[in-house]
Order: sequence, then structure tokens, then C-alpha cells
Amino acid sequence: MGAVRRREPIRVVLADDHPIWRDGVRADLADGFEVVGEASEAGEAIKVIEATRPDVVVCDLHMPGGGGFAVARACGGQAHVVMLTVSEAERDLLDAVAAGALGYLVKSTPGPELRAALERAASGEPVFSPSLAALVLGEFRRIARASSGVQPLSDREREVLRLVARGHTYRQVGAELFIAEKTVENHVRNILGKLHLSRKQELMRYALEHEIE
Amino acid sequence: MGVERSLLSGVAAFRWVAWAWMVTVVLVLRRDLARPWLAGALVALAAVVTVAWTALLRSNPSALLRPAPVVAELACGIAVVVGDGFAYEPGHVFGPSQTLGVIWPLSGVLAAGVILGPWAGAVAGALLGLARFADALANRVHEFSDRQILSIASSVVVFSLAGATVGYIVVLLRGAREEVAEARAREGVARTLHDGVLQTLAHIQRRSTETAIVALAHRQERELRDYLFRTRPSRLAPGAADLAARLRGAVARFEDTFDVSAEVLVADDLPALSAAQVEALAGAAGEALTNAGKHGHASRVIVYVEPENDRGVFCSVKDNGTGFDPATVAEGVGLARSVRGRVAEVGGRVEARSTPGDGTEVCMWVP
Repeated sequence: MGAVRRREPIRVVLADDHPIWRDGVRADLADGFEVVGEASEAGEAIKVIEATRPDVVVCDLHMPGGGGFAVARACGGQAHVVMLTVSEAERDLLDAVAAGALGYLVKSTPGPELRAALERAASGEPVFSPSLAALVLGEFRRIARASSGVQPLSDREREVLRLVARGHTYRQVGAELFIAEKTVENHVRNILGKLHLSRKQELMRYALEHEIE
Repeated sequence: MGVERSLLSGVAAFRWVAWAWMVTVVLVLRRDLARPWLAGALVALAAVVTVAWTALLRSNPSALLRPAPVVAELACGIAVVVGDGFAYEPGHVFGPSQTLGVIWPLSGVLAAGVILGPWAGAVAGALLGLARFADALANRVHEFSDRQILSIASSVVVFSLAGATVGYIVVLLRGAREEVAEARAREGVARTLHDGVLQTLAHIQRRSTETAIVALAHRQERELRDYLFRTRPSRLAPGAADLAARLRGAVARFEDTFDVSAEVLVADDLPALSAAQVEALAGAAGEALTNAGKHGHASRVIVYVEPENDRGVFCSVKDNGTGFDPATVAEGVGLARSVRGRVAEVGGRVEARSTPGDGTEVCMWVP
């Protein structure tokens, strides 16, 4: 898991409207990480990210100026954005991931787990907690039912997602399915891509049904 | 009040249109009238009721939400239907021509449905339909053909259906409004708590070194989270909500007993479950949790439940503890007896997977 031990510290931007939280996360990250920028609202965060080009962005889901959604939409393409949130409202989380975030962590996540997750996110790996995997699975089941059984996910992708939801690490998923850990990561990335696409299509369908008739 | 009020505004508009139609019919077909003064009186009565309802709806709408105004309007409606028979030349009722008392009286039925509910709407409609019989008698029809009886009967059915439908729509709308209101209230609470209590609880857990305080903050956070973010039980299939609640209870007890963090993930599209299935799965998952706490040296456990092939359920309990070697250890006696026994009782099967150093996962399938 932590195989990618870098010499250079991982460069982090923290965005949260509560200074006490930024202090807390900074203290937790300690060595191995360098906080290169901080912001307390979305617009500021986007500027700081563009100026500093960090390895990973830790961003509160609900912030002034459009929250983590705005940051993920604006920077999800170039930066690795991880949501740190106390919210677990289903739609918020799916929207954040669809907007371009690499995943989310609940704010009570213990320090070591937080560090491990951010290390992986810094190298572009999705931070897929079991609860997020379960949400995404449910979402795709809904999509399949709505489009009369057409499955957007391949069998293999579904299998990967189910194992992650059950609490398997990527390494364990790989061992279970006889594939490389890297392949598991690729599957997860593809799943995120499909989620992104389906959310977009859903928005378009909604717009078509409700506005242009 | 919101739903009823907007529907009553609709009924008020209907009343005006129907009244205008009544005036038109009286004026255009004035030569069919035997007693023009009576027709005028009926039009005036309808006008008084129409104006009074509109005025009340503007000034004091809650006064309308009682039986008295509904009964009064319905009585006026029946009077208009019966008076119609007296106003026209004999035999006009079943003739091909329009009569003044066909549409306007329906507003009383609609009002009854909106204000007093579907049953009252149905009864009001039936009464108005039967009034057509009196209408025919007043119109000096003494012998009824099958066709005419059928015509009156169909009025009874159609009017009572109209009243019941309107009443039912109100019931549905009211339910929808209550759900929206509850969801909004939760959202408001969630927003407030998000920036306050949940942040504080999370902060305590991250920064405190006192294990008892961390455990307390964790438990509080879990309870709050369950309230705020879990799928509402009413949206789950019967039995599925019970299973989710039982599993959460089991995990809460497990966390308190073993000081290990655990999470319950229940899909919101589970099929309906019988009480026996819920009992078996919750009991078996509880046993698997205890096993993980006692023997596994785990720091994290996940209980996951999802639908399996439309009607079945899959449930897994996975820990990240030391695990065991299935080849050498006679797989936990407790696990075998209690978990397998419970699941087998409802026709399900169990599989325990483990590798030394890599945790244990207990998988259960219930058809």
C-alpha cells in the first residue's frame, strides 16, 4: 500500500472555512507532507491551487463560494482533490465525485488512515472508502433499473466495487480476482469515469424533460 | 392548509366558469323554460354561493375547512338540480337539450372531497346523482325507461368518483407536503449540526488522547450521523428497515464492548424480508462481530448488506484482524455453530474466508 515512499514531501493545499480544522489537519499530516497553501472559500482555493500546483488538495465539501463542488469542478482535471467532510448526504457525495473529486474522507478519520489515503491520492489513486463504493453500487443499480436492465458497469467492475464495499483493500481485491493491484486501480478509475458520465447524462435528460419540450 | 387552499381556489374558479355556463344556457334556451322566474332564482342562488365562497376564501379560508359550508353548498347544489326539473317544460330532463342544473352543482361535490376527504366526496357525489331522480320527478317524468335509469345511475357513479378522486388527491398531496417539510427540517438541522456539533465531535476524536472521551465522541457522532444521513426507514422495504436497525444496534454494542470501529452499509434497495430472515441475519452478523472482536485483533470491521438476484440478500462481516489459516484451524467452533445454524434455519448458506494476517470475512446468503 505505502509502497510509493517519496523522498520529497507531498505538497498539500488545505481548504476549509474553519481555521481550527486546517490547524488540526496540518498537525496530523506532520512529516512527509508540506502544506503549501490554505484557503477558506472555494474561489480562493481555486486560485491557490492554480498558483501552487499541489500534489493533493484536501477540501471541505461545504464552504462558502460553492464549496468543494466548485473546487472539484474547476481543478479536478489537473489536481487530485479529496473531500474531507462531516456530511454523508448521499447526493452530496455522489455529486462531489462526479464533479471530479478523487473521493472523500469523513472528518473523524484517524490520523494514520488520513495520511495513508492522502499519500495514495497524491499519486492519483481514487480514495474509495467502502461506504462510497456502496453508494456508487446503489446508484448504478438504480441506473440499470431505470434503463430497463442495461448495466453501465461491466461484470468485473461490479465485482471490484462489491469487494471494496465489503471492506477489501485494493491488494485484497486483486488477490481475490487474480489481477494486479494496478488493474484494480484502473477499474476503479473507469468506474468513476462512468459515474461522471451517467450523472452528466442524467442532468441532460432532466433538462430535456423539464425545460425544452 | 396550503394544499387545500390552492385546490379550493381551483374549485372557486370552477364555480365561476360553471355559473357563467349556467347563465348562458338559461339565456340561449330561454324558450324551453316553463317558469323563467324560477330559473332566475336558481341562477341568483348559485351566484350568492359562488360569491360567498370566493369572498370567504380570500378573507377567512380556515372558516371553510369545516362541514357546515360544504353541507350548505351541497344543499344549494341539490336545490338547483331539483329546481331545474320545475323550471323546464315537462320531459325536458331527458331531452337532447342542455339544462341549467348540470355542471354548477358539481362544485359542492369537489369541495366536499377537498375539505372532508375522499369518502365524504363520494357520498356527496352519490347524493347529487340521486338528486337527478328528484329532478326527473319534478319534471313530471313518471315512468322511467331502462336507458333513463341507467343515465341517472351513471350520474351517481361519475359524481361520486369525482368527489372521491379529488379527496384522494388531497390526501396524496398532503402526504407529499409532509414528506417535503420533514426533509427540509432535516436539511436545516443537518446544516446547523454540520458546522457545529459534528465538527466538534470529529475534532475531539482527532485531537483528544483520552480514550474514554474519544469513545464517547465517537458514539455521539454515530448516533447523530444515523439520524441525519441514513435512508429513512419508510423508504426501505418491510423488514429491510428492521434489519438495518438491528445491525446498527449490534455494531454500536460491538464498538462499545471491543473498542474497535465498525461500519454498517445497507443498500437502500433491499427486497422485503420476513421476520425470521431478519432475526437470522441480524443474529448471525452479531455472532460474526463478536468473533471478530474476541479472536481477530481487528481495528476495523465492515458489515455490508446488498440485494442478491432480485429476491435474496447478501451480507458480509469483514475485519482487518489477524485472520486464521482455514487449512489448519478447525474454523472457530462458535462461528460454525451459531452463524451457520442461524442462517441455515432460513435456508441460507455461510462461507468464512480468511488468510493469516489478512483478516476474516464471513459471507452469508439468504434466498
